Amino acid sequence: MKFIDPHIHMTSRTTNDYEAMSKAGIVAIIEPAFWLGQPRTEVGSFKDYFSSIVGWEAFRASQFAIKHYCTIGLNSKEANNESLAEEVMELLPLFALKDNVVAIGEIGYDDQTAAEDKYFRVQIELAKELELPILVHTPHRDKKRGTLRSMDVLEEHGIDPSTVIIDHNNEETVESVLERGYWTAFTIYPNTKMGSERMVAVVEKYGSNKIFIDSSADWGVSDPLSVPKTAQLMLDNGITSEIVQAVCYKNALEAYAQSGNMKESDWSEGVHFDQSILYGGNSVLRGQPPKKSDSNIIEN
Amino acid sequence: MRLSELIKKYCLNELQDEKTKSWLDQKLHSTKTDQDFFISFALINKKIPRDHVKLSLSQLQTIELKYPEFYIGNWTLDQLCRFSLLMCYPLLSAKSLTKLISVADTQEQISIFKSIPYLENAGHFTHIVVNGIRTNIVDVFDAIALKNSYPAGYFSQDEWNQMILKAVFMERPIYLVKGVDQRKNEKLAHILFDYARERWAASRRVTPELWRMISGYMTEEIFLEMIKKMAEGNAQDQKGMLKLIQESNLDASQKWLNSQSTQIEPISWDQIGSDFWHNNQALQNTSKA
Repeated sequence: MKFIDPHIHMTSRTTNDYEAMSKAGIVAIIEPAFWLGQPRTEVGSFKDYFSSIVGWEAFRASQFAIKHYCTIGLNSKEANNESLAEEVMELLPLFALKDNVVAIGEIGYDDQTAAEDKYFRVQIELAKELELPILVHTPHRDKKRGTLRSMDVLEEHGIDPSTVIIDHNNEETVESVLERGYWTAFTIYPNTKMGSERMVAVVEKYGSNKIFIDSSADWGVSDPLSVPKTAQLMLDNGITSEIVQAVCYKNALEAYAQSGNMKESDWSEGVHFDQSILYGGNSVLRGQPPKKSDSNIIEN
Repeated sequence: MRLSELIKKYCLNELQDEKTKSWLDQKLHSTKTDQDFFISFALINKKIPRDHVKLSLSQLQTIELKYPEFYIGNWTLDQLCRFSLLMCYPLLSAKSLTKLISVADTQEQISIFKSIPYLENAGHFTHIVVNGIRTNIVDVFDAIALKNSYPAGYFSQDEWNQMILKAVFMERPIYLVKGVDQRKNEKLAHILFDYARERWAASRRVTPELWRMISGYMTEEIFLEMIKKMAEGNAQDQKGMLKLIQESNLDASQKWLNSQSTQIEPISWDQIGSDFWHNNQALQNTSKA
């Protein structure tokens, strides 16, 4: 079975993770712009981070036959440094139009402060202007209220819920998010958020419509194989493979394909670098099969 | 017609959608600010398909005959549109280009590095291109190092040597590097031979193209060490070494050649390189593999 992990922070992960993910059947991933575990203090740090997730990380993933996408945005925690946030807002349009960007995100609330609210709204408007989907991070604390408020604000700005992914849901939020027509994502975490067993119960109760799962693996204790592992647990519990495929692949693809930058053909024929785009008569390779996967790891 | 005019015309002709065509036309002719230019440059990704160039025979002949160094077949339509944007924006300073590169994704970097040699103020951008060589993304490296006249024209000797050594290291096809024979130098020959020794010590092979850059600088020491290794290599490895010996003026190599019973077939360095890259990708293997 093939999988998409639509939320994972690969800049914090090793090549061992990439190898394991590829072996487990993960063919495409989305890396939402996030914070790095401690607040950045200079706008240049944001620029280099964005630059690495639109270029270098995609190349790194391609060496393991995984297609890499990202989302661009200022996360809610760092929105609280207002002078820095202003400078980041100027950077965002320069990165949000790149080749592998599939949404504005992850944005939303952390402590639900006035500054968070301000930059959430500014970025909703940016997504509207650039016609990109929105990935919303829902807060760890006071989750239910934060989630409802996020949806209220999105609707206030006239955003169509079918272009928005509300992430990190749990049993308390799922019903209202589904009801209002949003893509409803669940993060499967070893300790906090959702565990795999709870997720099985959610799918048993709500089915697969508009629901998908991700690992949100990052620099903390987390598991980059959450998606394939949870898929296995669902199958073991008698959930049909059609539903499992929807929750672990198809729905995420459908949601983010709305950006125009993500399509199945990006990986169904194998993940290519540019070398192989020109291949076919004109490239520097001229008849040599393009190097890919582990044969193209640069020694340095 | 100038190259930039030819390409601009080609891009506009190629776009079927009237809205996209007039968008590009407008951006090519009336971009006034850096911010506007950056956004247009980024928007190419959304607006222009990443297609191969589809040239009619007469178009192809015009461009290929007049500008063979441009390798028109080596560009995609979106890259040609970015090339045109760069050529039509005369205000582009080294500072602006540095900023453009610092926010560029892989595709944009490739277009920029392929275009730089054709900019009127190309000489202002040397440090940008030299920095570009530090990339670990193969396609970006190739955009600078292969089929690109910029490094041979503008790099200092040390910068050139670093690029060649990295190209050998990354196993890139050296015969596609422009000016590879003209920019050979003694320092590079020694660096490359040291690299060969390192590979041999780890029971690894080196590309037969390596000897091309040592030609003219072979010492007796190099000759003796290489001869020992030649017997262990396969026919492809030997081709490069044999050619080096043939081109050498050393007494030792002439003597060795005279002692050989079989005639050595004449072959060009380009042929050695292209044979190697078409038939062999497994340099990682030991020499005995």
